[in-house]
Amino acid sequence: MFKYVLKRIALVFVTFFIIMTMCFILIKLLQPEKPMLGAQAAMELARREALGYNKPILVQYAIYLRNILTKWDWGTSWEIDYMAPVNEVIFDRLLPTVLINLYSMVFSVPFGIIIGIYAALKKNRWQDHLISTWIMIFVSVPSYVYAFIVQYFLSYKTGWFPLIMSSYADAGGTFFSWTMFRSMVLPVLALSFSTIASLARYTRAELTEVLTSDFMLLARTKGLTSRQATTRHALRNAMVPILPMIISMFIGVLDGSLIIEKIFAVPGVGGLYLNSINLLDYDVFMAVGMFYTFINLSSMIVIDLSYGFIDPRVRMGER
Amino acid sequence: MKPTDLGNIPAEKLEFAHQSDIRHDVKFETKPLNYFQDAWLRFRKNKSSVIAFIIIIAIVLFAFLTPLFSRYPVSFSDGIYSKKLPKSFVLSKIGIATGTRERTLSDKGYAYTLGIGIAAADTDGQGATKQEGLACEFSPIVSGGELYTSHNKNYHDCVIDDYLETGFTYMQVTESQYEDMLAWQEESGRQLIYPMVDISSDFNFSRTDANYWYKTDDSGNPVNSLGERLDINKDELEENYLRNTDGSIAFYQGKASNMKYVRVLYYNYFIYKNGHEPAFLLGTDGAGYDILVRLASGTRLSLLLAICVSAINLTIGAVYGAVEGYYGGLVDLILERVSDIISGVPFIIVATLFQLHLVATGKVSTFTALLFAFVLTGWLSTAYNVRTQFYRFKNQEYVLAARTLGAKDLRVMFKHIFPNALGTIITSSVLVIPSVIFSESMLSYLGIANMNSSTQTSLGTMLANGQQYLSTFPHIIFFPAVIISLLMISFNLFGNGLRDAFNPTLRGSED
Amino acid sequence: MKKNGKTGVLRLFSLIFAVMMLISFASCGKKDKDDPSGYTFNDYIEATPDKWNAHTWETSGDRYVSGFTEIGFVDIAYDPETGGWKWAYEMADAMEDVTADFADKEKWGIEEGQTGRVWKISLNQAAKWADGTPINADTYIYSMQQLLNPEMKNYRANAHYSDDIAIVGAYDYFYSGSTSKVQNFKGPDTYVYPYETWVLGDDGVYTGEDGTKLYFGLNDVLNYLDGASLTEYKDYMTEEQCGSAAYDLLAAKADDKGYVPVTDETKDILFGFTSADVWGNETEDLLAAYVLYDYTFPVFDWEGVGLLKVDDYTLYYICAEPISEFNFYVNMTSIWLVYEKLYEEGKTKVGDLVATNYGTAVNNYMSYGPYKLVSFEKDKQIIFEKNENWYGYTDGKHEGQYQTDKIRCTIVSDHNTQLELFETGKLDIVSLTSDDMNEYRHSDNLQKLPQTYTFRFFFVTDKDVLRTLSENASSDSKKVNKVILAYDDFRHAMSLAIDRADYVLKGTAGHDAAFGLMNSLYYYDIENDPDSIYRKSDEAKQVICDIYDVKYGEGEKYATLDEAYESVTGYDVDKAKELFQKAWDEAYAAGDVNDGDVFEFTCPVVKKELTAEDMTQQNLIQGYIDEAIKGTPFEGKVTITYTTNEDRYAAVGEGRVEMARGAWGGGAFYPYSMIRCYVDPTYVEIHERCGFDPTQETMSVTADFDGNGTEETLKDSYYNWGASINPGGKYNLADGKLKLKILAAIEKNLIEQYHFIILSSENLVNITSDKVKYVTDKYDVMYEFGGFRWLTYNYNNGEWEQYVKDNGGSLNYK
Repeated sequence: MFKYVLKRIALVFVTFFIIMTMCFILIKLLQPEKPMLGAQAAMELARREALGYNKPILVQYAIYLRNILTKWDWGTSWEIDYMAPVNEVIFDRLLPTVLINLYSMVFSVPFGIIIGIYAALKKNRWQDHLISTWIMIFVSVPSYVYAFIVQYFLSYKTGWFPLIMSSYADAGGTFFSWTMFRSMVLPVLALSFSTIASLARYTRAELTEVLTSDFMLLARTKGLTSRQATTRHALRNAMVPILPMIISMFIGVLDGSLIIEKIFAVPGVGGLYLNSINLLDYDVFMAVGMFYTFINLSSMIVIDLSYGFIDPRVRMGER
Repeated sequence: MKPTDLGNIPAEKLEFAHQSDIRHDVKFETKPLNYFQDAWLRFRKNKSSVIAFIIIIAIVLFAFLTPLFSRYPVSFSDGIYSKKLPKSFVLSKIGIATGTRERTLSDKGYAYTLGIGIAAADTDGQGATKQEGLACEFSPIVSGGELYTSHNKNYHDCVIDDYLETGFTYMQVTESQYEDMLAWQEESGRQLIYPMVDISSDFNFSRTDANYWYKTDDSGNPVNSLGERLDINKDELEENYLRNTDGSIAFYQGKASNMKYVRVLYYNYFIYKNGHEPAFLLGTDGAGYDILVRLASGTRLSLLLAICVSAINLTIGAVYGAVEGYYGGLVDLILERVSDIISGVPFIIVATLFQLHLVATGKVSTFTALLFAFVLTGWLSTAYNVRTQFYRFKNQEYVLAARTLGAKDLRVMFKHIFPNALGTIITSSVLVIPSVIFSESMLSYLGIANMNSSTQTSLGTMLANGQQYLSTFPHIIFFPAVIISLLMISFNLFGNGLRDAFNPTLRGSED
Repeated sequence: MKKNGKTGVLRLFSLIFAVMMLISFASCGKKDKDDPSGYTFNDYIEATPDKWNAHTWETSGDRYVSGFTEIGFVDIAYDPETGGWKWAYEMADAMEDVTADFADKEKWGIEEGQTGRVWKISLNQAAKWADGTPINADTYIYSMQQLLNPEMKNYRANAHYSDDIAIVGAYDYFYSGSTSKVQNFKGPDTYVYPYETWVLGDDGVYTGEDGTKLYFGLNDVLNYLDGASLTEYKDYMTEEQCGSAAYDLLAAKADDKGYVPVTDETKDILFGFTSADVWGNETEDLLAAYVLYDYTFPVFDWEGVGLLKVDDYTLYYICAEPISEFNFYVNMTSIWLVYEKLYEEGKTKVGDLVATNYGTAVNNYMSYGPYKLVSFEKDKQIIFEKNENWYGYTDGKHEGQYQTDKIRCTIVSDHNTQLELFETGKLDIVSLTSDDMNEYRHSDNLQKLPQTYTFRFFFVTDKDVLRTLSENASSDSKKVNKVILAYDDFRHAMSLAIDRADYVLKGTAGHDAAFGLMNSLYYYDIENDPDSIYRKSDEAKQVICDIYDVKYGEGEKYATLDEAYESVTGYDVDKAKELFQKAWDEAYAAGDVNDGDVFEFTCPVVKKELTAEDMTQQNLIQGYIDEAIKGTPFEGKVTITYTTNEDRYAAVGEGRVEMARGAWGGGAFYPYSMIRCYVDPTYVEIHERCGFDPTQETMSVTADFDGNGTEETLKDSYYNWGASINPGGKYNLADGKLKLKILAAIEKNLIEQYHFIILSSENLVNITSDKVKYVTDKYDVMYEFGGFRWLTYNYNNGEWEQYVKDNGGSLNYK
């Protein structure tokens, strides 16, 4: 087992390197715009010359790698935060996104599972249909529609919650004050709907499949009450795909939802990725891109390993 | 009934039977059920997925049949009647789609809106009273308008007809068009050309808004000829019409190269242009397109794109996943890494690059570029699903048995394991359809892809364009959102239904 | 996971949840409420400004912070007594033109009798930084040294070394000691090293007489090629057209920056390239136009720069070219001050470029204006408070001004959220889109702000480039023809086909139809005559009437020039049909058009996102053209498709796309320098340069040039006419009427070429809350509505909150 894990980690680094090269070439294909005024155009060209943008892409890539390997310097941002080192650009914005997503996870994972289980147990009865349609509604309605509805009714019309997330200064210099939390309720709610719905649907689907399998029949014939059979056996089996999904949701915490952050003015990393493409801030794009890629690849390993961990029958890599 | 109390069975009940004609397995009377019929039987039992199937069929029919019945072609757009509320003469009799809304107007707003009715009633420019204005059929104020004050400001709550609220517009017409309009006026009895306003006088507030026919000061408040403010609740509005040299009311202003600048009541102009009164069942969107027809065309395009994508994803994903899942070991490792690399490709970058390099230079249409962008990374999830299913079933006893019987890999894969995996594959490929529509709307919201043109649009683009009007004209986004939700619900339920139907383990077991 | 799955997981999560709740309630710190009796202005912007350092800011968004925290020598302010505008002295107490009695004129190259060269600036002695450090002459000298610092290549340096207020010697100081390749071509057939003077060095490389090595530049922008480079030309011309084999030979010999030493061999290769007929079979001596040479600027120290410290609070600012008092004052409304300690601390070296992070956060920036920067949260919020150390609050000259004591700027990009924040009293101002106008049209708090930007279509008119573009777009099934755009009649017809009144009404957010290049915001002599609006002058009106040949006077339809001008619509469908037919016949005869052709034009209009409004505009334009080509051979064959392009101006300029839509604007008080955007390739990259070379094409002007009462007609290139009415030009200081006549003539000749079609000019619309009141509601181009200086309050913070509560939490501005 340990040899297998080592092999996987080595492969992750190879994949990481290939993706990094691909992204670097892809982004460098997009050329920034030249300013119009003659004098400023010459200035901008001189600045790009100084930063080495005119060199062939592979040479630039070599310089970029050398900076990372020798000084762990992922470059400076020129468009999003003028002259700020790239890791500062990311970590300044990480906390609000992580907080919002963490609150939403903590709020929606238990609800999602419970609703899923309840729906599975009451399969094809009116509760199940009610819950399924409710799930479908929340999964299918675009996030900016119910984000707007939540904002319109719970804040604009009634004034119970502030319209947008409060700033650090207004919240008394801390991210953990009551005003800050109250101002986060709406974005958390908006984020949670889709998580609860998708988790519930997934749990319901897995559980129904497990409930109809033959070992449940065996459990019942063994004399277990239906409640015991469900909790002891059915749920354990149903968890096989659910746990990795929760793990990947945890990992997903970091990418933040672009639209929710736009509507509730959350200063998070959500818009950073797209912003760096629009403004062609090369170093920020590479750093953010590689940040997510590393998280995804490492979560892949964790999930694959968790398969083996939860369901002993499914051994990885064995023929 | 214990076997011992059989007792006296009458003799005639018994009959001699020849040893050979006792057949244990009696011929089935029921028709033979092949795989799909059995699946259909089980599918029919699940009510919700049948309803879902019906909804899908309804939407597809709606998408293909509406253009035949609708009064407006897809490319019809009217810049003035943009963002209008849903209105249909039939339904408004029972109170739905009346095309009216409540508005709270300040004095200035009330004067402006009431003014439209007064001007419409005063066809020859000799003046009309407020009563005549309110009574006129073209007055936007349907009901209400009583004065009340709050925080020492005057307000009027009234119900306004969205179509009549447009009132008058200025228009440049050639000599022949002008004659044609006059002729239509006589023949239809509907007044089209109204007295022209003296635009360059300093009592005129706006050179482009034809509803300011009355004298106003610099900020649009009604005034009399001496410039003193008028109170709409007490006084009448004073007209500011253009006079010919002989003092009579001018109905046009001569422009260069014998063009005429006229002031037209747009409601009647619409009838003059299109032959029927303006009514859009689902209202119009930001660019003045009829939402009903655009929705049909958008659904068609989005469904087409989604089905193509899910079909391609299904085939590639299934084959890739099967090979990966079945062979495991080295093959699995390598293929897994390949799919890691491809999944590492940032989807937004790929979509942007396709748009930049392929579409902007006109080599490929947006549709194909989007299809390619979706397919490039789309099949991964199906491959992943299939791989997990294969891992689940690979070591099942019956598969081992099949292999020991000498079945070749291909047969084992696609005869034994694949049908079991079919359930989740069908579900996931059916779920791909709404999620493709969804991410297409995300791409158009972010401005990367734009399927919008006068002859075609897509559900995603309509959703993205409607987002900016959420607080002001919610009906624009409401209908596409309903359609996409219905599609999502029905495809999900349909997918669930299919999965249960095709799930071999459920074959024959009662639910 | 020994315990059965569900309850274990549940218990774990509820534990985390509880802990999370505990932390957040425990540490609720001081709530930053606004002081109820104070006056807070709640503003908003859509994107975070990333740098407001006076030396490097680029977009107007970057100026947001320095708009509050910095102030110029003088400021344009509303004058309550006269109701007009006046100069308010701020960081300077006086600025006067002392050129006449200036001591050593020759040292600074000042001729006798010149005025507007040397300006004596007496600094405001009470001026201090927000931390109390005084600001004196040394601060200004240090700041200018940094702005022009050769190593930093500051984005805004060009304002002080090459523009109207260029300082004597600043150019040489900025480039001092640096060697850079400089172009040999100085203007039509004027070279530093003409071809015949080249000397063949013993190493086989040609040099000028003085031995400077000569190079051909492949990647460099060449004025001779109107701002394009050889590489760009090669990329866009087909294989056989430019003999790219020759180009590749050259490239093989070039160094990593694309410079090829001039030798016999490389000379012949390039000559093979330029003498090809498709290139215009140039003669050998024109090779000099492609040459660059290393020019090492002499080391130039600060003493040579015309910014002199007279005493602690007096400066001499010596301009390279004479400048009128008004222009000088306008340029001094924003100044180049930086805080030395933080500026130096922020410096780092990136590649061979020195850059500073001054002005990117609260702790690396120092304010000196009425407000100081207190808190800056990226993508969230910026807070300014009153700067107690600002002289204005205690010098008695600012009574009744700057009543605001705090500014909270929220960064929110979603328009719906902005409207909701405004209606619930959380924002005091919001800018409206065309869709909102329907709802807010009657509000009394509405302000309409006309802009100077004039939108137009501009075209590639060079036949060869159009032929290439046509081939690229054609396929065997479809023969696309774009060459027709080279025919003036076709473009003229397109212009007459567009119903501009209908277009602005249905397709834009409150634009006005436009017929000339400069709308009514441009003043040709605002200094002496506040009503000198260019568009309303007789010369400008005559231009429009001539273009659309509308006559006036006896026996004509219109009596006066004004009436004739009012009647112009630019819309004449019949004449358009005539011109389309004429263009077809001419092109058909010349073989540029044949029956199977389809005329498909792609027109990039925005950089990134095509909005619904763009699509409406495209369909409107397409509709007008379809109407006008009915009954002509073009019927049903012409389509215009709007697209996006990263850099549409360069795309058309370099012949990669056949047309685009864009706008020039700004310079409301300098119509003379604004016209250079259309005629001066050294000032700016001309959009229509692919097929229109203002340095070659000529036009004539009829006016009384020598003041002897009789009018003469002179002919010269557009470029020379443009330069003649700008600083250093022949008629720059001539009398107003003559300059106006020349300006009008340039505008007329430009429009009549129809290299571009003028569409509309833009208006922005704002709405302010009941809490605040501008000093005047009549728009003025100088001070708009009195601006932030004179903003007064109807309610303070406490009263405002109560007012909103009384209205049930949301206010009705409709």
